[in-house]
Amino acid sequence: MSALKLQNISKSYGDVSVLSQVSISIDSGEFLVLLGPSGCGKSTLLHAIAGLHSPTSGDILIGGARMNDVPCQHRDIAMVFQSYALYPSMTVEQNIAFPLEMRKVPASQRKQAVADAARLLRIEHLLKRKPSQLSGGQRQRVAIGRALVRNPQLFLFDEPLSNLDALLRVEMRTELKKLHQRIGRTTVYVTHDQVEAMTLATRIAILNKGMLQQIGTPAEVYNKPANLFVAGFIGSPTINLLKGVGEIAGGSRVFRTIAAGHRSMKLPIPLGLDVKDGQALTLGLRPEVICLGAGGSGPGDVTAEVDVTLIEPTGPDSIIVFELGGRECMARVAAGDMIKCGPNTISFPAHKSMFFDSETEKLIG
Amino acid sequence: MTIDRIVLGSTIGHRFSRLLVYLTLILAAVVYIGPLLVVLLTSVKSLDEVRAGTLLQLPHAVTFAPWKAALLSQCIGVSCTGLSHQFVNSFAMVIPAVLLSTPLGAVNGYALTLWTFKGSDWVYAFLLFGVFMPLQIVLIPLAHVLGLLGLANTLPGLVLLHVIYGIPFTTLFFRNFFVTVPRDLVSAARVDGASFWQVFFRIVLPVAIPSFVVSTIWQFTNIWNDFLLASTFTDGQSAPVTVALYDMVGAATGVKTYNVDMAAVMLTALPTLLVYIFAGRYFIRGLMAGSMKG
Repeated sequence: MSALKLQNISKSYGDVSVLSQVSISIDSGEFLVLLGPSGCGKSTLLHAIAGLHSPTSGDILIGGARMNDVPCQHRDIAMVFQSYALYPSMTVEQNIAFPLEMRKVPASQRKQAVADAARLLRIEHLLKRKPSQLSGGQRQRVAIGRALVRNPQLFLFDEPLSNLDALLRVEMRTELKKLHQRIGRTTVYVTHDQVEAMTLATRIAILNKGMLQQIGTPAEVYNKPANLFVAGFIGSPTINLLKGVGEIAGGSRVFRTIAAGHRSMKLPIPLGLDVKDGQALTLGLRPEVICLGAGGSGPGDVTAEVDVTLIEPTGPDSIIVFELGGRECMARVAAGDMIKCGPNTISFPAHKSMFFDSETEKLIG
Repeated sequence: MTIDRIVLGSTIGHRFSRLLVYLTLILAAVVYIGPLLVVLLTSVKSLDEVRAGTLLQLPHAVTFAPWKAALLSQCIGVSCTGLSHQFVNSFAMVIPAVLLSTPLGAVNGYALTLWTFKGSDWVYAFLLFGVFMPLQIVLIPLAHVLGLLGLANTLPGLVLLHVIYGIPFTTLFFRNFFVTVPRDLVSAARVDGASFWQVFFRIVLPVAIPSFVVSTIWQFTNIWNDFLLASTFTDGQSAPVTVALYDMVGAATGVKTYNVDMAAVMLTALPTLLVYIFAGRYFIRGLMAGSMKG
């Protein structure tokens, strides 16, 4: 039985549609990340799951029971907010105990539960303080503690790390992952940060303009993006996308880039891809697929002469920028391999390329 | 908190403009403090001294007899008991009226901002109408309603009017504070299982203390100083002190006892003055609440 099931969830405010026909089902213990640019409807979806507002249509099932008309305090969920939403007049201890108090848990049990949560999050020394006396990271822990203390069926996180500075964010990210591994609760986590999504999720659901684009494991959405939006949204630096056309004649299946005023580049289309002659295609190349130097001489390797115009060192490796097929492209190379801009040879194996239909924007094969 | 001084210019032009600012401020202060000084000085002089001296002359012998007379023995019409009875009336009116209108405004403001419902904006718009409505145009309907309720010419009737008339103001105060309270706070509390009243009492109320102070000061001052409703809907023994003051000073016959009149004015104004002096800093803080971080 799935822990959470969303069936055709739609939400609109008047004529403005925020979510349309979103269906997601997740199993017990999963860590689902709702990922998308701002305004894609991911927070709206989370709030609908929480019961803070109701969807215009569609069903929400938690643990198999329909929750549409159940008020949020009876949904057996806990939520961590972007702003932490700690109660300013209460101490940390009172904050964490609040959900138990509201559910009339006896004081002795409450104390024990708060102590357990505090130990898990290493905030025992902060229990007597007020939220205003805490740093951002500490507030974050208290907010998680308040969610943790009740052992809910479902954890909801609404961009919990986006108010933290970069270093702390990475640290808390790791802690969240450890926490999930330790307690294994079903979690739905909203973020616009694809690195957070990739590192934390067991599965990622990518939303754009209120529509579900793809749902899959981090490896799936990275290696087999369902469409151009997902391909472009996941991965940093972003995927190189080259426009072109498929040419099928006799035994030869070739993709040729089209860009006005530029020499076209050809590469073989892998077998098994259903491509028609003259079909408008978009080639997707991850930056790390491209290597410096000439490739092998086989038909599966593509070599091109390019002019590198920019090098961005990132430490372990460098991002080089060059023009290919009429587009500015990026490749990730080892830090020492490229020191000066200028003409160079690059290559990539054709089987690591992805092909999208330029019209439907969907992945082929 | 220490406040660092801002850097001021030191050229002739800068100094001259600063002098102008100070002169303007001093002039404004004199305009406001002058009359108060006259009232205060006159109220502690004997009647002979009032007649003999000038307005701003310091008293030769300070006497509190006029204050005593104003409070206990000055005649208002035929009863010569001073303002004491009506002074008590004013407290009997202002305390319940403030204690009822402020919490009602708090709940209204809370519901209208953090627990919004369909049409809540309209409710707020109608409530605001009460703020801008001149009382004069509803005096006759109010009289009719009070008559129907059997509360005409009574203090409870006056309390009822002040509570109802105060709700738009108190609601406005609390609403303007509550819009600065993050909605997430209420969402979090709801997810945690708190009800409407639990959220109100446990989460929202503790952070709204400055608003309570502001609302209380405002209501206390306005209700205490009210003359229109009081003079329309009460008389004689049920009147609050503002009406009694008018009767004592304005309707008296015979020798004008200026010193007693001034003492009566001071006595009438004293409660609101004290409220301002002791709670004024909360007033400023409350009006500014939420305008800045921290």
